[in-house]
Amino acid sequence: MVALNFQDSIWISCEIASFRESRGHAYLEVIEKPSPDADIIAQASAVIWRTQLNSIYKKLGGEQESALQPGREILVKVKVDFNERYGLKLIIEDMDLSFTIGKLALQRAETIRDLTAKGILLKNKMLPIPNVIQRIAIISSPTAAGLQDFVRQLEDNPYGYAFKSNLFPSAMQGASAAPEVCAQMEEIASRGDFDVIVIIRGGGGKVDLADFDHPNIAIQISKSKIPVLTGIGHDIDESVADLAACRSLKTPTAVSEFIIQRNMEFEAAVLFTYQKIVSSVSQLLQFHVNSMDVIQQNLRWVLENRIRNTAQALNQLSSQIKYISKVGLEKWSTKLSSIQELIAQIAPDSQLKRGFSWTEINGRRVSAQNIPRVRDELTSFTNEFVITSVLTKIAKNESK
Amino acid sequence: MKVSKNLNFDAAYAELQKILSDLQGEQVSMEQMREKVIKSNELIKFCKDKLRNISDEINASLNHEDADLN
Repeated sequence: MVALNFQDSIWISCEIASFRESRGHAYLEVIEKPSPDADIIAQASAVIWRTQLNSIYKKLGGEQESALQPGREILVKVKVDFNERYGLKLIIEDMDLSFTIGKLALQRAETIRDLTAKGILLKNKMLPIPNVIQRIAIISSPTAAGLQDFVRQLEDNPYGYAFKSNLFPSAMQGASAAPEVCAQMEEIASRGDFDVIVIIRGGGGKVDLADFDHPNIAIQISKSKIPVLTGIGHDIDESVADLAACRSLKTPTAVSEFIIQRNMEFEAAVLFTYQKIVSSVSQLLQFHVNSMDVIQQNLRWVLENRIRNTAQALNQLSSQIKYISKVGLEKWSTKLSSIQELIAQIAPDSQLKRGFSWTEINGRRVSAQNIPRVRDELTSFTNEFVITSVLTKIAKNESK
Repeated sequence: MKVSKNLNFDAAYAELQKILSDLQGEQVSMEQMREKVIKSNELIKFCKDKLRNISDEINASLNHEDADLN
């Protein structure tokens, strides 16, 4: 009867409640709600036959998994089919992707407004990123191409930095992405010994990105005590997770570059400081060496002065001694000369030469103490002769 | 009468003075006088040599010290 009423195809909007594929056909439950939190007001089974599914997949261009998952709002062209055995069924013939994207954008704007009002988007940005990043918790899908790029780039970094990274596997798209990411973030928080959490995946479509618009991921990021870096691989748009992260980068490769760059900057700063220390130490050393030189110069000068003064004093003393001894020697010389002169005067030879004679009696000079008597034999010495005579007369010399 | 090798200046000078006072005294013979004059000449020569040596030694020693200091 319905079929009779809706012979032509019509466009309807609804939300996917469940989705499964079987033998190339897709079987869905679709529902209608007046608002996301409200109760279901209508529900129906729907099917996409293989031919239509293939052409819809082609149109979605790789975003089918994201677009056709529970929770997504879709605008589809359906034909109502009634089978007496299986009941009413909607046969989906076409799908408008832009509707889904628009709905997601509205949801996203709503989420951002709400999270901003609660201050959730700023929390992780307040955390300081360590200067040196080495222990990295990676949340990604083990099969993601971006993960391989990220790990390889870290390992092949040209500076030889060592990294310890642990993978916490999680679905990176689809409805299970948000709960799995949140669960792994809690696991990482309980381990605690990480410098950063990195959430990465390879490129994805606009609808794919919507998985990271889920408010739970942003809330989980805001609770983290560890800074979160995201590289969820979209060039144009940022997900809500990106907005909540401490630092969001376009791609996994950009995240690894950021980490390596940050380490390098720290190393450069350390090297710079080291150079400064080396140069100030050598300056200080030079200063001390110079002052040692000055002290040494002063010491030498004082010593030389002392030596010169002492030498002068000694020289003075020496010349004084020379003078005094000269005077002393001259005095002795004078004394000797006068003795010599006296003796020369007394010497009998000189007396005799001058015509005096010397007369002795019994080997002693004739004097007041040795007076000869008449007929005594006298011996007289003159310059030329020794005269022996007999005394005939003796008288005192009255002239004396 | 030979001048002893062990003789020093002071002893020689003292002997010279004694000879002088002996010569100035009354009780010496011509011969003793001659001997004393000869002796005195030797002593005077000895003393003068001694003085010259002492002077040379003093000069040499002081000049040597000067050379060291300058």
